[in-house]
Amino acid sequence: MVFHYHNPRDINMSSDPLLELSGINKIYKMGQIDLQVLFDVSLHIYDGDFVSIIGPSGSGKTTLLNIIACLDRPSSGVYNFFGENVGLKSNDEMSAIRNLRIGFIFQSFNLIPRHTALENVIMPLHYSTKFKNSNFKNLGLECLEKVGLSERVNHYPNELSGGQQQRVAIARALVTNPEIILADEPTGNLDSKTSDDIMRLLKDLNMQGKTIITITHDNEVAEQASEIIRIKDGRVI
Amino acid sequence: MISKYFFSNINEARINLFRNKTRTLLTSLGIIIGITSVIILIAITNGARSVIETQLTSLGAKTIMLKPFVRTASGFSTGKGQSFSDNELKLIKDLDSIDYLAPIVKDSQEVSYRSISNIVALVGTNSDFSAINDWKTTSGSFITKNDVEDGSKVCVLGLTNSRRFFGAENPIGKKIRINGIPHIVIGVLEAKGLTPGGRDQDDFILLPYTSLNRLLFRPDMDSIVTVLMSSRSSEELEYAKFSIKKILRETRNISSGGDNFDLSSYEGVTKKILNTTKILRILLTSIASISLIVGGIGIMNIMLVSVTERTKEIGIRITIGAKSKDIVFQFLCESALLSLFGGIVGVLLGYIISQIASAIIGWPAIVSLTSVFIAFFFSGGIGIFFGIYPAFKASKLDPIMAIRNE
Repeated sequence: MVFHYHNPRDINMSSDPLLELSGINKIYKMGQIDLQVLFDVSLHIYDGDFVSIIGPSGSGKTTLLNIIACLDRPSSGVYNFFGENVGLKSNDEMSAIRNLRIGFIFQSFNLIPRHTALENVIMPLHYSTKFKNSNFKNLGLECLEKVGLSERVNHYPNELSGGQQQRVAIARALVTNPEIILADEPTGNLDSKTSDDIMRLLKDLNMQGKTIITITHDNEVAEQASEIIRIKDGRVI
Repeated sequence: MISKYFFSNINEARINLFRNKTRTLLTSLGIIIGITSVIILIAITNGARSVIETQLTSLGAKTIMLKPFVRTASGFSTGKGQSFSDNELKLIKDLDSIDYLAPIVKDSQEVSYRSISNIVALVGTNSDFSAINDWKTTSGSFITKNDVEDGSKVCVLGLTNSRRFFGAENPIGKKIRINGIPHIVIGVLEAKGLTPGGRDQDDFILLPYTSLNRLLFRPDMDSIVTVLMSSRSSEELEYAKFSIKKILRETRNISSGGDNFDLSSYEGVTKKILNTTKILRILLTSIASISLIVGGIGIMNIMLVSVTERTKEIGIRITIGAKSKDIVFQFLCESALLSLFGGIVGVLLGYIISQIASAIIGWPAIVSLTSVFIAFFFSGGIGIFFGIYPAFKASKLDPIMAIRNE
């Protein structure tokens, strides 16, 4: 469904998709009424892709993102994440997947206000045994340097501009070195110049081999991606 | 590297508690009051116990009596046995469990002052006699170590003899003749009164035992009929007896069963009385513990509020990979630390208040290390116990809903 043509790495990669959604339905039970939000969604996302999911509000794109992000399970259909069926995983197993394989970027940054930039960045490291022998501080500083915030490591979120906060969030998304970056309206709260900076940063990360998935309702943002998936009324169009 | 995880959680909890100083203080108030009252009650009842113990001492609660003992053909006799050597008494006196040791030498001789003369019981002993029997002088002073070493010709009168020889006159500094030899009266003992059998306990005269022996031309050690000792506390009485027995068996090279000495004490009665104070302490402490439970509920309440307030943060943490146990642990650390803080303040406050109370009521307040440990253990335990429900509630949040919470 999604074609990928720009990344030379793909030529040598196996043809198996990283993420494979087939026939995904999502139904919310609201009292007596069943509300179906996603209808038979099928997608393949490959290593190195830069995908934008675009759709108006209420189209089900956030629900789709939650499923892709291993935050929610489909009501029916199969979602294979790195070849494994997410529907069969426990909550803690899904937490471990999110911790190591997915970096999260949100519209409202979602930093913890009473922690410094550095403390926010290294937070995911506390939740995995993979890094138990690593130097958290060094890993965190490395990531902050990547996003150009070496000068602000000990600042609290409320001492940083929106763009800087989003950079901290990106550094946090990178700290466990995940394969996938999920960005939910990453520029929704930023002015256009800062938005461009952030999008450039995401593109750079994509060039460095990260698979990037953004969701947005903004065509301009979506067009930065190499693939665009349009969603409307719970269906991919 | 578990410690890194542990410390980051403790630090997290510390930051949270510091951010809301007033709330932290108010929440831990329940625990502070609870621990304070437990500490005070234990301190005061411990104090009461020691007061009662001191009073029991005058009844002989800590007293041990050692006598020579011989087995004769006709049966037992506590009369003339092997006397105690200087070395033996020194070894016993050096025991940690023994506070005081007084050898006793007895005789009866004619005592006269001016025209009055009478046959009076004489007791030779040393300076420890007063402490062992909790028997003080009402006027003058008691026999000193120097008096014993020098064999000074001094004496302390039982009240009956002070009245008999001096009437209303002050006897201190006067010379009375014992067996014709003048002795200076240095003190008068307070009254003990009659025994239940009607014997007058105040009808005797005390001398340094060395002086009495010299007066009667007797060798010092051989004439000792009894050695009176007191153990450091009534709890240590049995241990002290055991140690004394061990020393004597070793120096005399005897196996068990062939003892040529006799050890006795009156522990039975005192044990019962001290048991009563223990029951009282348990009762009072359990009443104070109720306030700890109330304090724990206060902590649970505020932790639930805290979970609600930090729903978004919990959502973020779960999204970026926190497992249920990570969230549970984070909140348990916080409630335990909150409660432990209350515990520490409670111990300090309890200590200060009990010292003040002790100064006012004139009764010692003893804050034992055990009660401090129990307080810490208890407060930490309460924090964890009452933190479990809020922590589990936090860990069960749906990250999708939680992260949208503002």
